[in-house]
Amino acid sequence: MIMRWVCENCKRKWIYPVKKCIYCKADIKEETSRKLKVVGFTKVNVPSVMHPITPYNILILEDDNQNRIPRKTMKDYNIGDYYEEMPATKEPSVSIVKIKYDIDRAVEDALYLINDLDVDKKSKILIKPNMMAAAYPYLAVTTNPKTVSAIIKYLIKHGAKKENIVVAEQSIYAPIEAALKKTGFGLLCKEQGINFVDISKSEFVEKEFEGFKVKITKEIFDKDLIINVPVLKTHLLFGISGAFENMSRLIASDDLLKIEQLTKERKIDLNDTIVKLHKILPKYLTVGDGSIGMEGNGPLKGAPAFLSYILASKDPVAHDAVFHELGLFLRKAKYLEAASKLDLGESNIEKIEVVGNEIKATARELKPAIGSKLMENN
Amino acid sequence: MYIKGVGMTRFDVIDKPSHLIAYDAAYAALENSGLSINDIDAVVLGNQDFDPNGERQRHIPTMLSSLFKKVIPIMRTPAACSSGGVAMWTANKIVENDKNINNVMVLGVEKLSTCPTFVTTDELMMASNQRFEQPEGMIFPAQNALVAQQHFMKYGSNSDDLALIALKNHENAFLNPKAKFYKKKVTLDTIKKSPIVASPLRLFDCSITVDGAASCILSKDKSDVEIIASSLYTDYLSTFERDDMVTWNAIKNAADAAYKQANLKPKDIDLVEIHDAFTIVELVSYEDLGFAEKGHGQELIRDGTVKLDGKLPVNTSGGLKAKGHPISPTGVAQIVELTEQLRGECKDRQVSNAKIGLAQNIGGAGGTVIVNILKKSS
Repeated sequence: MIMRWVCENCKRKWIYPVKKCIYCKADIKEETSRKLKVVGFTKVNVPSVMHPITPYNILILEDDNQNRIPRKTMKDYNIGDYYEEMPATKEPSVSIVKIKYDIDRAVEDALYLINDLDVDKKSKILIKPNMMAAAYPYLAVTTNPKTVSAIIKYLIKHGAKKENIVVAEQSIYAPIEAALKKTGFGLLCKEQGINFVDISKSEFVEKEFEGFKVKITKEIFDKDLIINVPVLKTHLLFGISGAFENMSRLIASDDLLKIEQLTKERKIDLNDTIVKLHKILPKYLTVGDGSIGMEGNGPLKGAPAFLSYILASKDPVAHDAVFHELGLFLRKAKYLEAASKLDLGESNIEKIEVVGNEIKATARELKPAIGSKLMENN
Repeated sequence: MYIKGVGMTRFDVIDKPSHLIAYDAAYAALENSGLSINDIDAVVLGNQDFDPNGERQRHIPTMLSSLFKKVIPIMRTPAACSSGGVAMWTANKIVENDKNINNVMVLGVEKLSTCPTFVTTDELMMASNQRFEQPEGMIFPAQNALVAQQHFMKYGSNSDDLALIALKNHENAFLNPKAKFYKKKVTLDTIKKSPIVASPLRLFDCSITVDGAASCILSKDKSDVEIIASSLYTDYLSTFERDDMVTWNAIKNAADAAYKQANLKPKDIDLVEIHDAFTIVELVSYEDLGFAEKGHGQELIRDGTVKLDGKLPVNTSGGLKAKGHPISPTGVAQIVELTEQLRGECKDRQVSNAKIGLAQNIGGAGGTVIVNILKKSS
């Protein structure tokens, strides 16, 4: 997709989403093109830190208005070929969209590429971000509220009513008021008129899995659509924190602690437990927030990774498997294969249709959490 | 303004920290000028805040204050590969406009040899667009490869033309004791058989990164070499954003302004130092500096015009290609070469009867361009 911001008066064009023309102060209109032609290409044979997999191609794509954009791909093209990004043709699918213009466009594109969401004015929707701690969004400990804001805008644009949308989460490491304030979700919900549900204070239903009795928030059982919005990061216990880890906070926090203790006592791997928990959850969509993302000692003390991409998938295992591939980690996160075996989704990359950007054209090495399962020589 | 003295280190792997490399060049320029450090009223430093060599030094101007034991105005002008040129332009303006300043030392320094190539490649790419080019793998060889492809398609130039440019610059560097490739024979066959870095550019189409420093002392006092024009222009950061990828407007604008200041035409120039970071840049520059019509640059290398014994010798120093390209010192080293040529000090590579020289320094893919015209004083 190529976008340009064009002055309605003097016709000057920007590649950046400016609001007013700096020359004539006139309004700006957007130009968007999806059907693009290859007008130049090069095959690059030398690796660099951000682009370790070679060879790769860079295309110069041009639209009908002679607007151009470079595009990295592992596939070969010729001058004159058309280049169009089409939505997925099968499931499981995962879209990867690099953030070029702003997060709103990236989220919209990521959802378009997995064939959009079927919502209407009656759809009851729950959005589950990561708000585990009281941390500023730039630290990438928690989900970027701009990503959730983009999802809300998308839902409303596609027919959903804001009164039917809730944002639900509980904070583990800080009082909810502090978390709402620092993460930016308090302001987001206020500005957009969206209800926030503190899961810790919600009604719970008791469920049982693998000998564990847990209380799960009732909020998720009467919704037409659940959108899981994890911040993509490294994780000391699970290797990566994606769709799976984020959904664990639908359980009452005391039960979360209990699960950890009992897992230790019973000498069960926590990776298996988190996977089995998903057997009692309803189906959900995942929008992975890589607007910043984290590497190193996640989930709390890593460094911002500046991933600058959004993932979307209806399959949480496929979603996490793709994020795992994008980080070029040496060891595979254990829970992915376990989840696949339980038919919770697909962990085999070869069987996942990746749309938008290609994995190899996006992947770069992320530092794992020290002591994480990814570092074990298993 | 006049050039009182010039000095530079050899461009090579130098087993010294960068501040001591800088010291050597400054010392040489002072020796050459007959001035003492006490005579210097200000220092302008061309240097990047380059991280991966393990020598990151923010606030480097005050480090120079410690090094030179001088408490005078000292500033840095980081502008990617044009840092040295911007330092020259800035120093020229200072000498011209500040009645209290008589002599300014211009200094360019960088140390690159201690970084692995894939790290240096990545670090240099940071001078490209952060949203649209860096995530797409637009390392500088790729950016210039795309320009080469467009020039080939549009104007019928080809890889053989680029190989001849590389050969010419290696032949010149063979004669320059300060060049990385001094007394190192490189054949056309070696150039043509070198590996493809980013198609169609081969290894020998790319300049070589080295350590080094160069210095020049500008003065109000008359000397044997005068700066009769100095201009600086910018263009949009990315080539894909411009109307024509193979016409670099910053070169045209800077050259036009310089010719106007000097009251000269391109035909009046006796020799040129061009910023040949890639051979295609030299070819495009023949045209945009006004030495050839657009689309005819290749004729100058085919008919030998730009060879050492040709009508318009280009890159008698060996250029960035074969003298070496330490990034920031490059723009200053071009002035060193022209000064020595105009003084008749270049021995085996001396251009006979050289009276007027032009230096063109580029930052990024034509994003910043500085053109200086030097004249042998009568």
